[in-house]
Amino acid sequence: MSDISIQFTLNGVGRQVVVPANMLLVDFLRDNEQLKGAKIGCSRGVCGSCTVLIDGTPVAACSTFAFQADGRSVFTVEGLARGGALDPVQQAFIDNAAFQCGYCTSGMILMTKALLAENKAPDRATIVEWLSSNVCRCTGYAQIIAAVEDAARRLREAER
Amino acid sequence: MKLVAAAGFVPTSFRTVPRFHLVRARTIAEAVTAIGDAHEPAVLAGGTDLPARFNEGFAPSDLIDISQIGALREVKLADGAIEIGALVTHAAGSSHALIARHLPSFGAAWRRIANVRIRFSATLGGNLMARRTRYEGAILLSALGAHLRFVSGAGVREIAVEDNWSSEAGKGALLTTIVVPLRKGLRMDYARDLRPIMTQAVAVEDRALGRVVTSTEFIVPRIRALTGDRPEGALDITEDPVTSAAYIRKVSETLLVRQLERLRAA
Repeated sequence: MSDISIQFTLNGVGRQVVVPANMLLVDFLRDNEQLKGAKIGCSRGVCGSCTVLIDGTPVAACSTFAFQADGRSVFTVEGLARGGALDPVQQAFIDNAAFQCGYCTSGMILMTKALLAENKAPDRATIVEWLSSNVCRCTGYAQIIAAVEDAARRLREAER
Repeated sequence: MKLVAAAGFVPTSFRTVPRFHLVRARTIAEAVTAIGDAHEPAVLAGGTDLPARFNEGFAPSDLIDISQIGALREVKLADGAIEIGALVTHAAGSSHALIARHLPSFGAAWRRIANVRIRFSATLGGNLMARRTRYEGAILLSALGAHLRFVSGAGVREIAVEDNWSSEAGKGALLTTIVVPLRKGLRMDYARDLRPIMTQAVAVEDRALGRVVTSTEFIVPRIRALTGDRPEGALDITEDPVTSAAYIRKVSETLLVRQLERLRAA
């Protein structure tokens, strides 16, 4: 089998496509779907710039074949905004100046979404542990950690 | 002028992943058959290591996707051992109730492997079969005296974790289970703060017996039996590309003292 038909949801929309078996998910998203949020960084699943959510779990799209999305739900940073309004995590990153070049930002934001889905009030050590999965080389982590703390606060307040 | 060689940076993408024949196995039997039939098979478990291997030039004829085989995701007690399915992820296994009850120190050490994102996807079986010295599963499991269970067309066989470093060990077979024997008082301490210079796992069964496993990023784990507070024999390390053998031996001794203190205090 060299080409494979897969069905999955992409940012909440059902899709059925045929992909080469050796196509990586990050290339499918960027080249076929024109979703450029997932960036190609280390290409070894280490730097986190290609992070997407599959069934809510953060994965490195550069280290995942497109066919592995079959039957699952894929979420990219492009799927976060709703009706023109940014997701609270995105807004917190803006308000805390938590990016400079922006290359790592979509991965950071999706990692944060996964963290806050699991833990609504993460302490600083937990935030640091989770974000250690993603590499930033220009912003500095202080603002990013502050943005995650801010996003957690906003989400808790929104639930009250 | 004749061009002898050319090299340059090639962005890694699917364009550099060679084509392969994909088999999506749904059962252990299907996977075993596919592995047996393939000229040069590769097994896809969590998928966190394999793309890196493709980047390094790996070109299998067949990719056997075992990620949908539910039977390989089980953790259970059997015959005085904990049996961990090869597809159990670092995140799921290290927090599993059976591990927490019977080998909590192993669970604590296992939780320290890799980063959060990788822990969600990477499997213990994949960690071991990648046979990379910088991956830490083999260090922990060697200290615990664990065995690996392989299934092939010829049947079932088990080998010690430390015998898996040869690529011939699991050839033509599927790793299905990691078997960790439970012995009374078995507990471990794992020192990885100096990684990648050195990591060291110490497992003790009682106050006098145990195992010390020492590894670096470049050196296959060295196993020594522990009697009392001393390992039997010298640490058999003669070279490392970045660190002298004398330094590694000294660090190993220092860490061992601290680790035994922690184990005594626990």
